Amino acid sequence: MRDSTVAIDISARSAYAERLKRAWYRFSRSKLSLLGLLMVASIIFIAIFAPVVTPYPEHAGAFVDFGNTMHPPSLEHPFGTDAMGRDILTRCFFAFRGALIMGIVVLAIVVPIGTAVGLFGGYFEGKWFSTIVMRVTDVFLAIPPLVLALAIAALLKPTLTNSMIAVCISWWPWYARLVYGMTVSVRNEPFVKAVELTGMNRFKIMFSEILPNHLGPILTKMTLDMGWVILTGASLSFVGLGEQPPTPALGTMVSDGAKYLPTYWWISVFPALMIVIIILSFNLLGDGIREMLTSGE
Amino acid sequence: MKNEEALAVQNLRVNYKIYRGILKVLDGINLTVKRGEKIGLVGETGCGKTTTLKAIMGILAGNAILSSGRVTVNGKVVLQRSAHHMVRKSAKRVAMIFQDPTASLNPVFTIGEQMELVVRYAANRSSSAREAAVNALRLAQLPDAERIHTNFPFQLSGGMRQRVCIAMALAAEPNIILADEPTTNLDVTIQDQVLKLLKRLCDEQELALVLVTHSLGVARETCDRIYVMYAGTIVEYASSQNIFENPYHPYTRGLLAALPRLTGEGIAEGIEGRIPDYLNPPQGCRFAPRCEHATEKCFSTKPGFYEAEDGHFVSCFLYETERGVASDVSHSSDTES
Amino acid sequence: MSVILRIRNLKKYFPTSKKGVFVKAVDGIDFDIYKEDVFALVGESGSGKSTTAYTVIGMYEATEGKIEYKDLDISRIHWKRPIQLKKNIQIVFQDPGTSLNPSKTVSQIIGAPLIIHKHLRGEKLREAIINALNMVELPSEYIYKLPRDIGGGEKQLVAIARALSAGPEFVILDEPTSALDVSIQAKIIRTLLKLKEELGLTYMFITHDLSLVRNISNRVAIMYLGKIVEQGPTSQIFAEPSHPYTQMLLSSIPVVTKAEEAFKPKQVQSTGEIPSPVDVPPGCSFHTRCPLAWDTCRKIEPQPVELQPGRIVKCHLYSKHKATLSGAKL
Repeated sequence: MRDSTVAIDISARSAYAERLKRAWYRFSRSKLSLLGLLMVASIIFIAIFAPVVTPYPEHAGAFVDFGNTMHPPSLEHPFGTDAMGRDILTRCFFAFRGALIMGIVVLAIVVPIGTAVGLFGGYFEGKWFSTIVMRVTDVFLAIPPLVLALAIAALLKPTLTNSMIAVCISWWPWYARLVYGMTVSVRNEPFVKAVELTGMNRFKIMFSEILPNHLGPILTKMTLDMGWVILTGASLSFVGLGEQPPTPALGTMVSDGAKYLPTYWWISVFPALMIVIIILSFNLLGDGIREMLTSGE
Repeated sequence: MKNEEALAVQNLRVNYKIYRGILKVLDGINLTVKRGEKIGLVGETGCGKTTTLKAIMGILAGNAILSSGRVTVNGKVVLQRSAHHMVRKSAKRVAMIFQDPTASLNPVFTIGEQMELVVRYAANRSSSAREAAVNALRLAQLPDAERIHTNFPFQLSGGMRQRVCIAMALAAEPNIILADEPTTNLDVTIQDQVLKLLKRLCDEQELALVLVTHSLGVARETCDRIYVMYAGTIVEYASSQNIFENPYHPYTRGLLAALPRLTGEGIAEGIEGRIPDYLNPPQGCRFAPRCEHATEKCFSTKPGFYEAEDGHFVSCFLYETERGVASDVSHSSDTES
Repeated sequence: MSVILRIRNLKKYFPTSKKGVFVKAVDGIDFDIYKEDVFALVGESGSGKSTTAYTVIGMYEATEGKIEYKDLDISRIHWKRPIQLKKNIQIVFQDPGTSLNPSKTVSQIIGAPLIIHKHLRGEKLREAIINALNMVELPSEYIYKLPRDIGGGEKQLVAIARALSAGPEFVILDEPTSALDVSIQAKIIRTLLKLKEELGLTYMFITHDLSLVRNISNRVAIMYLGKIVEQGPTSQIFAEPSHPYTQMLLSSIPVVTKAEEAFKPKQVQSTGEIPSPVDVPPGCSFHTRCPLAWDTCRKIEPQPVELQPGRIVKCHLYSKHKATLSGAKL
């Protein structure tokens, strides 16, 4: 018995390794997804090690050097300096931290809530309580997320936390809808019927039988959304409803620099470019993940 | 006229490229269909019977590689692949019937509109297209052809839709019909009607029929001659009667034995094992790993065709001594290219 | 022999979008299944055979009538049934491609009923799972495979192992081999029959394949448009099919030997198609396709007639209306 158990475990491990290898093959078929992965990895690396990789870490805070204001891009300051004489490259890299935290925290809140609502609504589709839950979801969906977030952020104090709350409120319905649709389509599949008829608890059916089949699309959407959540966060901080100075935020930096356009273009163009790069990276990665999870042979 | 070849497939080899490598699916298929002859191409899931049909029609999937072969339709070469050149023309006067009639009819056009298109483009007649369409529907024994002409596919039952597909195939005025599992989705009583219809129409209009099916019974009731396929090769071919009364190849025998009988003889063993991995198919006979008679030779050398009886060819070394090598094997070398 | 499942006047209607119009999927059927029998329920698509099976297992709630399992009324939807019943009655679905959860390993699939009904865990659970796998003659290392890594026949064996793992008494087999090739079908059927003997199971076998039924079942019921038109011991029904529909079915089967050819009834040619169950013809619902139908058939629904003990047919040819039959011969 012992020996056969070991043999089974070995074959299980090799089957798992084979599955990973095949997934990696599908992912790496597209050079763009590899590029996306590399860029996302670099962004995360830079955000974590910002104090080490940036040339002037002290510029991230309330630093003023009136001797060095409005320097155009040079070797010393690759992205130039702003009206306070701070290095824009340094401030951009530090702003990655806030942007990523925004994305991660928002998704960490939004995905479980949206998924649970969608699973519940989908599994009990046709029942009155499911209908109520899904209509409420529709109401939230009907309001453009940025407008809703703006309204909520304006009501509350303009802080990073509050702008996250605002984005969360406008974002969960998208996950609820996605999961709802997928749940409705597998709810009547024989594999769900089989465990129902065996007498499995309904919550267990929802979370352990149905949910694992949705993980791929959810993961893909999360990756794609990472960029969009960061963009929404930047939009909020652009109008002054996000991270407050002196902490660097990409949106705030773009809006600060906008006053000096077009002469001192680098002050807002480089932070804006960083936003573009972040969104692009997550989108490329998301496409790669989608490719990996959906394409057969 | 009757003995002319309507369709000839010679040494057809098709591979598919996938992530893990190259699937060597068709391994030298040879078959001939005479004018007005009904042949059955029988085999289990994954034996390459549908790939064969697709290669003949020129509708192989994007990752398919045609590595050799020649297809002749009505005396004209429509497909030829050799080391030096490639010929590809569209086959004329060939119509196809698919397994799923629902998927092969466009849901947003009426039956009449779809059929008239076929009449105009395939049969090249624009005047009286409507009449030709209604006539074809009548030929397919659809009650009230005038009404059905104005119906949408969803208004018809599955059996009627398949009749419409048959009518549509007829409207193209073919002399060869390729049918891919035309009755698999139908109930047994409807299957019986559709097969009888198909058989009668082929007889009346002297159409050649290639019927691809997994059901030995269906092939027996419809076809004059039967080719049995296994793992991308043809293992045995003969007249329907011979195949069923005197099967020679161990695979054909196993397959026949596995069928439950209406007369009730219990359930047989089936055939042990499963079809080989096309990535790495057996060197010699592809059935060897599952064959109880297999010898060393079977694993190393591909068997040719041996004539076990008049017109009954078997690709198995067990019958090598019977009558020597059959003439058909000579097809496998591309003499004309 | 004792009756394990007793069905009396079972009806299952589904509402349509039109008010007051129902799809009469199952329309008043009666049958008994005896312990350790293989009972075959045969019919074409739309005959209501699967609806019957799903009502017995509790996927649908019966509109009317009684389902008794060992004298216990179980005509309720599955979540209102006692858990013990779910252990005793199991089902194997037609397509193993959709009846196994694609994101679960074989061990999780087979383990689910064991955890629910036997409360097994850890090494004990693993042993029980391996036992179930070996029971269907699959190697133990399959426990970590995903459904997509194994063949169609093997998937069905896994589905059978799941159904049998918790030790049921009564198993519904819903066309378990119709999605598989014949050489694989033979293996699955042999495994099922072997397990039936070993474990003393009772099977309700839903199928459209009469050749298969002939070889595995003791009793057959033939369904047409929600009604059982003929039922009885398999050997009798095949030797002497009484209902014209049974004859039509038998004569439509493509066969492979001359002996079978000779065995098929000749006089009934297949004509017409099964009408919609929304709009069931009056009288005998088969009269639209029946070559022997006469006036009575179009007006009055035939009542079941017991030709021999346990052999029941619903056709005017055998009822008291037969007196009015003129010219029609059988």
